[in-house]
Amino acid sequence: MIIFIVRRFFQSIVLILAMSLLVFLGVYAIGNPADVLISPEASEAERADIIRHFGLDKPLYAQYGLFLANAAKGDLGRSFKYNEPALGLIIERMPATLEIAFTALFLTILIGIPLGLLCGLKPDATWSKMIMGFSAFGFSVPSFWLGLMMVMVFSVFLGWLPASGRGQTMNLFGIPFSFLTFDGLKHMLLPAINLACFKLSLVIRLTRAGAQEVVRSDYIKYAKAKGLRPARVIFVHMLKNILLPIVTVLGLEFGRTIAFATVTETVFAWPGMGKLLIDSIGVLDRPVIVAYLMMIVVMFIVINLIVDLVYTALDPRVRLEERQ
Amino acid sequence: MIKGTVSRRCISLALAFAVFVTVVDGAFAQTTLKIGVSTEPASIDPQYSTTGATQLASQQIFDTIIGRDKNLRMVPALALSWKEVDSLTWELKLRPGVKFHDGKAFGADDIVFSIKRIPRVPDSPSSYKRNVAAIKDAVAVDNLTVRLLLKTPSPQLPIDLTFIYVLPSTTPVEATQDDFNKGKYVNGTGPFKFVEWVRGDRLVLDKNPNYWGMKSYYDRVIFRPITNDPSRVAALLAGDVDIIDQVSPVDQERLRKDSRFTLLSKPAATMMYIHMDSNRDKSPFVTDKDGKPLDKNPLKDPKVREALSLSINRQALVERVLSGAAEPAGQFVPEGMVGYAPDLLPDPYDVEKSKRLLAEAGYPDGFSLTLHAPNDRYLNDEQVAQTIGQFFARIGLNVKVQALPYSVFSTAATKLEYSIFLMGFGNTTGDAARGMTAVLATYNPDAGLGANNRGRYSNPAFDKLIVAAAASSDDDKREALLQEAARIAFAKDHAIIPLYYQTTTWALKKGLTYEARMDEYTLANYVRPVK
Repeated sequence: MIIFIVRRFFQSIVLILAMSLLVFLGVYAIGNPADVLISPEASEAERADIIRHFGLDKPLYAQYGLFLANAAKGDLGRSFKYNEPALGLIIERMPATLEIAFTALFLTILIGIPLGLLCGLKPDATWSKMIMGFSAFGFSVPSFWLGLMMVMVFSVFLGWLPASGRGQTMNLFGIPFSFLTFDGLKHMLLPAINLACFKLSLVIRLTRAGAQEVVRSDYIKYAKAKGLRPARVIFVHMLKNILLPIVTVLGLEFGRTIAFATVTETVFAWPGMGKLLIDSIGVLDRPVIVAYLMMIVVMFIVINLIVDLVYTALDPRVRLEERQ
Repeated sequence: MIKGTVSRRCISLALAFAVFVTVVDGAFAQTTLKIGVSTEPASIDPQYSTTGATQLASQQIFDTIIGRDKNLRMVPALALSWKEVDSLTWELKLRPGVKFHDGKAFGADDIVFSIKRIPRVPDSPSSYKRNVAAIKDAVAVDNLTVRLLLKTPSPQLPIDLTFIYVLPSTTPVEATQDDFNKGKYVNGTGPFKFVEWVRGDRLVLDKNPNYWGMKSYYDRVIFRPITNDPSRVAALLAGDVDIIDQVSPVDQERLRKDSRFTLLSKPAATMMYIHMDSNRDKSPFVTDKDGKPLDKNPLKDPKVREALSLSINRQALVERVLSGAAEPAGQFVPEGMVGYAPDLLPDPYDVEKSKRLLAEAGYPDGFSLTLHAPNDRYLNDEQVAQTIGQFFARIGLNVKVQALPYSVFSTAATKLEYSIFLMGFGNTTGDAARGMTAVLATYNPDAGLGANNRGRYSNPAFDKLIVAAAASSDDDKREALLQEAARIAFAKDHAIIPLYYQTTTWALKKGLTYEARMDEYTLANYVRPVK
């Protein structure tokens, strides 16, 4: 187990380095941050000064080298636009994104798995078919449109929920969270649902497919024949086997949600990391883009690690690589 | 039964608590104004960034030395009067009785400190350095008089002073951006006091009851950045905010029909134009109809440029593509700004004359062009470019339109990779000099001319007039010189093709009013209920 984790750790370093190199090259290829950030009214001397200060006058490999040297010390650069540490900016906005991402995950598991199970066990009922229809809607509709529709219905027409923003927050360990206030929860609901929609549809379909497959297998028939209570059959015996693909998908989806909640955050003016990313890309604020994407890589690696560990917990037949 | 009683009691307790909280909240409510804005400041330090987004915040909390009214003409602010004592010295007389938010009295020391601090603000990509570049030293003669000693004669110094925000001389040198953003040392003389800034979420300000100018009607103002246009409108419709800025034309149509809201418009400082490569003999994106390069670049011929300008139906462009949210332009600045020449009207729509001019220039069958444009920077920029492309096609040209994100587009345009492209310029100084110097003067980076002259237009007669205007301290003479320069560049040379001036629109809840401004700022102390 330890060896497994250590080996993963080293693989990750390679991944992170590769990602940082890609982003550096990518941003360089798009355009020169100097042209976008520096006011057109600046004199040539000023421009040269700023370019020199940001290190943009050095050749690309020198800039990358400098970046790596600083990264080793934990300094991922300062934002060109805000003149604050890039990592600090991202971490400042992380709690907001994590809040809605976790809520979306929570909603997905709470609603998706039971609904999927129900649909799988009773595929011919009308309500089962209706739920499947809605799930198709859920992953084919663009989240931008869905978000705006939700705002129109729930905020503008019905006036039940606020249209945008984060609302009141309360500090827990010095970090502001919305879920601790009623006002915050009201603001959080629509973005979280918007984020959850796609995942929910996936999970319902996967659970249903899994349920339909597993219910036909021998050991389930045997369990039913033996007279076990239906609840025990479903939740103890069936569920564990259905969950494997769902755990994989949820892991990937969760990572993607945190990393790219950009659209939802823009529509709902939710002050999270995704919005920071898209704004930074727009002005070619390279330090922030690099720091953000590197952090995302780390996050995905951690999530994948957790998924792999959960696998072994769910299915004892699956062994971690080195135990062969 | 016991279970039922307990749960019922819990519910009634919860209800009572909810009612209590609402009532208490209502009893102590201040009047609050919520403004939904399309941009966010980069910092609360008013000397950090010149971008409009940051100045929006600075304008509420701080004052500038000289102010600007809604038409961007200069008005007294912290300086009551300003005069040129000799060519290298200016004297400012300051407003008495002004206090900073912490109670400190305002005086000449603060002006001197603010001017000296600007070059020391570190690492800003768009700093205010150029506004103090001409100032060698600032001296407090007495508490209400300041003398500015200049390096070179600078008749336009007052314009630069309208961009200098005043901080108290007690601000520590080591104050960082982070300090400012958290509210430390945020001490201004403006209509609002800083309360809190949560990046991406809200900027909260409280009324300054001792403000020397137009006091705020509201006790508290909250700026909410909502960059997405439909979301901003939705927030207004849902009642989450009371006023929004930058209403897009499509939303304007919808809000106009809704009696719950009022719309206010004002021509903005941004002028949209077509910039052409009028310098090179071989231009990358101009070819003959078969795609083969031409011997001579047609865009070098003023007749061709005029033909292109006449082929555009500006009125239709404004009405159809921009839903009326613009005004046709014939020169750099709209009416009301300094340097506007009343005889320079937008070119008429004349397809016949256009084709005739093309034939006279030697292109009766036209040629091929690729028109480039940004697609995420200006209002409907991509659609405007496509419409212009259609207009050019009607006079016999083969046109391709390429729209790209601004970050890519601006880099390439600056490197002269394009032949003809759509661009905008913000006339933030309220006069034509800045724009004409940056875009039309011969490219001369050492002299600070032509920084935005991406077509490399060059006319020595025009340059002479621009330089003379910059050196003139007689306002009338200066305006005449600028008008003359505009006539050369537009009527004679058709150096660029001015298209239209964007108008900015605000939408407010019915019952509120605001004095719309040409610089597109939403100054919260000017929002008040309609009497």
